[in-house]
Amino acid sequence: MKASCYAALIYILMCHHLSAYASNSSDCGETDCINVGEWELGVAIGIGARSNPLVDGDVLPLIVLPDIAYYGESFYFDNFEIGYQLLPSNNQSVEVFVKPNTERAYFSFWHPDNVLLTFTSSPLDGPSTPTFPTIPGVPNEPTKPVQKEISVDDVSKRDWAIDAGVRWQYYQPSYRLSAFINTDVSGVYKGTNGGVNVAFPWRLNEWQFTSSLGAVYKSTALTNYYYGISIADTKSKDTFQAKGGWQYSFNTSASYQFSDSWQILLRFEITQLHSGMYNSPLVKDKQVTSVFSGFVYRF
Amino acid sequence: MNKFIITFLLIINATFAQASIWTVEPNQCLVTDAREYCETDVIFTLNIDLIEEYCVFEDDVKIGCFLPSGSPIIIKRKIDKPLVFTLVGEQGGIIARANVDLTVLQAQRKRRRVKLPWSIF
Repeated sequence: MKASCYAALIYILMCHHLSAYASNSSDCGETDCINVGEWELGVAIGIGARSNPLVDGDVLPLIVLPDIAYYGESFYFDNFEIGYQLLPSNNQSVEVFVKPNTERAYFSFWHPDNVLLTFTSSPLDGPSTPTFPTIPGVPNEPTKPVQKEISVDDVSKRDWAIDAGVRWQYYQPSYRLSAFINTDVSGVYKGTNGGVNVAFPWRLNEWQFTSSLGAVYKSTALTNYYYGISIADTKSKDTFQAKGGWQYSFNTSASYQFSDSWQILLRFEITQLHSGMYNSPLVKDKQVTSVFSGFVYRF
Repeated sequence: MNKFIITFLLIINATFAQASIWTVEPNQCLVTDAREYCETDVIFTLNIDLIEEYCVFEDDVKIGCFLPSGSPIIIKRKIDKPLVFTLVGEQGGIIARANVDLTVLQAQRKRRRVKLPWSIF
């Protein structure tokens, strides 16, 4: 993952260099500005999926995706996040908000991200049991403790949680920096998460690109609630205490507007899970990958 | 939501500068959204006798010079920002200036989204 992080950083720096020539406006662009008091509605239709790191977890299909936002003078609704913007200025803002925590999505097929279609297999849906040839005496995954895997189908139900948070953002023409901290206000996992993200928008001819790097800390309480194994999950005494840690992600998207209402959208994202999570017998992958390609219609 | 640009225009009163040495029409482009612009002929008319060569510049770029016939100079221009024209005499001195302003009517207030589009992914 280190190599891929470096590759992502080099890619972003190259893009950033390009953007110095391609972008010279300090105002928000067409893609991230919205008229006050108007709904922004878009739907992306295409093909894509997000991998599921859980043992026997269903891949999350990305077929029809909404982009819904409404902004008042200070209040906003943006893709299921409801918030209030404090101290907005041209180049920075602070907002407080509530939003669903998406960790639960891996445990169920339904998620706001998804469409109700059944995928039986996907390139992103790795096998639930290793298929590498077994060499006697050599474990298949030497970095992961040898432990019996536990299927997501065999553990007790995890609940959806609601997070409340505060986010600070700093805007420049060539990048957008944000830092946030969220806490569970629904009493489900009773923990916190927080992180930083830097996004680089840039243009190349008619294509609009955004690439970002992010780091998110997920607390032990959060990680253990979703990925720990308690006596409620297993009939044996083999419990597992998941621990908090930092997850790193790289995201890039490209869009090409070819008419007033239509555009092409391509997205790719990879997240490196932290060891306190992927060491869980419930987790089989160290990364989560998300890809999508399709068409966007803006109403 | 519609981001593509509609041509609007225009106006209006001519610019009378420097005791009507010249007239520049229009002097204003009116749009309803900051992303819109005007496409129009800008007409420069000299209101004095041509006793020397007078030329019109936009920034440092010469657009044209008035002919002895006194006929106006007409250029087609896209007005997506305020324009400043100068009338320059034979010796290179600036005789007059005229502005063509871009005015946004009832500007729709905009906010930057706190999340990037498609952040639901």
